[in-house]
Amino acid sequence: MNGDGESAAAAYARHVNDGLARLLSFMGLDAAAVRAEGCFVWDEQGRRFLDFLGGYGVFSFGHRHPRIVAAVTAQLERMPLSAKILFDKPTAELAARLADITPGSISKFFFCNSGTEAVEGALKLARLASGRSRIIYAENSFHGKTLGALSATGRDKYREPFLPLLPEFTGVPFGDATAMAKALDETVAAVILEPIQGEGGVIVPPLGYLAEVRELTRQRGALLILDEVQTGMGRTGYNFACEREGVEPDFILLAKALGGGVMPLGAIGGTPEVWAKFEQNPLIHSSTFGGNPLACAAGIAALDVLQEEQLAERAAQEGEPFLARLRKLAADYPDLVKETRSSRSRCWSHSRSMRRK
Amino acid sequence: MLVAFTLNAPEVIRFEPPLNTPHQLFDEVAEKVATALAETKKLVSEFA
Ligand SMILES: Cc1ncc(COP(=O)(O)O)c(C=O)c1O
Repeated sequence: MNGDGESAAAAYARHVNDGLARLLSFMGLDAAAVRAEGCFVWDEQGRRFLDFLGGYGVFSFGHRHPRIVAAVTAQLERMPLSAKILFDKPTAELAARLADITPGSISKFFFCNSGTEAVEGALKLARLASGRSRIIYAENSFHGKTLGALSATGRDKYREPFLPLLPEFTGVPFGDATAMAKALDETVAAVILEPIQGEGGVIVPPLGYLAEVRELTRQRGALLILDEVQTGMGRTGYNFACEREGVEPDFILLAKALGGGVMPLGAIGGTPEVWAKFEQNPLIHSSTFGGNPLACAAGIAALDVLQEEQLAERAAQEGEPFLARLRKLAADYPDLVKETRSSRSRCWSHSRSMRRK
Repeated sequence: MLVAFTLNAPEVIRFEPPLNTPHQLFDEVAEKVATALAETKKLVSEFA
């Protein structure tokens, strides 16, 4: 209940968004969450929910991982936000730690507060670095819902109400290197891709696709932006999904699990080459709260957990038997389940008539 | 209650557990999925 005795669902309906309130109620999820730990969330009545939604990729380390909570609490006691007058140690440390584990020569980082902001920044920095303007994105992709990110998002249902979007964005079929080769000419600043399409229903491209796109972008002088907002931080059995094909992008985008499931945190990683013009004019892109010490403390602790608990390896191991069971169920119920897809720890069932289990 | 879905692609049920999920929870979830499928099949055949 809220202060005036109104339930959270009723207050959402009146003051947040009635359509959203009705959608959650229709799905039987109209209770208010009050506590979370590990894989579980509890509501006001003390009912326990087994959370296999995972915040769309946020809770790779579970809810309130003790080590991450401790790091954030300690930083909160010292200095949560940047004074913006001196260097911030957690920001510096997180950038250095990410440089150690991100692919290829990626060694420069810009911090922000969400995945969408990371996409926006990368699109700008790619135009700045290349001196070109055209962006190629994949159909069925999801990169966020702000205007720039939406212009690179290949989902009509999100695009159409807001047309016209930014000019010079071209969509190509995902997983089709021939279509990419056709679209990629000398006007293209960058290609932006998810290594595995997450929100699009988890579409894994054919093995070799990313490497081919990398090669094509190199040939045509375009940059490659890999959006690992959802696939990064161990989720697919690798620290970053592009490691599966040994692909080294020019930009890598991180968010969601980067904040350890405790703080909002996003990052754009880039090579020294794509950062050079940004370094000549460092205020050309900035964020008041991006890279704040509290969020960066969470990011550092998240990297500690990822590495020390060997979560990428664990994801790969644990995912397989679970996937086998889901595949068997799909075979037992062919009229209900169309397909089961996975990339290591990631498992998805594509249902025919069933919406939710 | 097990919660697993995706609003952006409602025909897809995504299982996105934490990477450190204990082994026995996967068994529990697989059981729940099996029960849900069996119940849905029954419902579908009743309304067919
Ligand atoms: C691949 C990808 N990029 C970007 C975003 C946008 O991230 P955010 O919602 O944190 O702005 C998402 C969100 O689902 C995503 O899956």
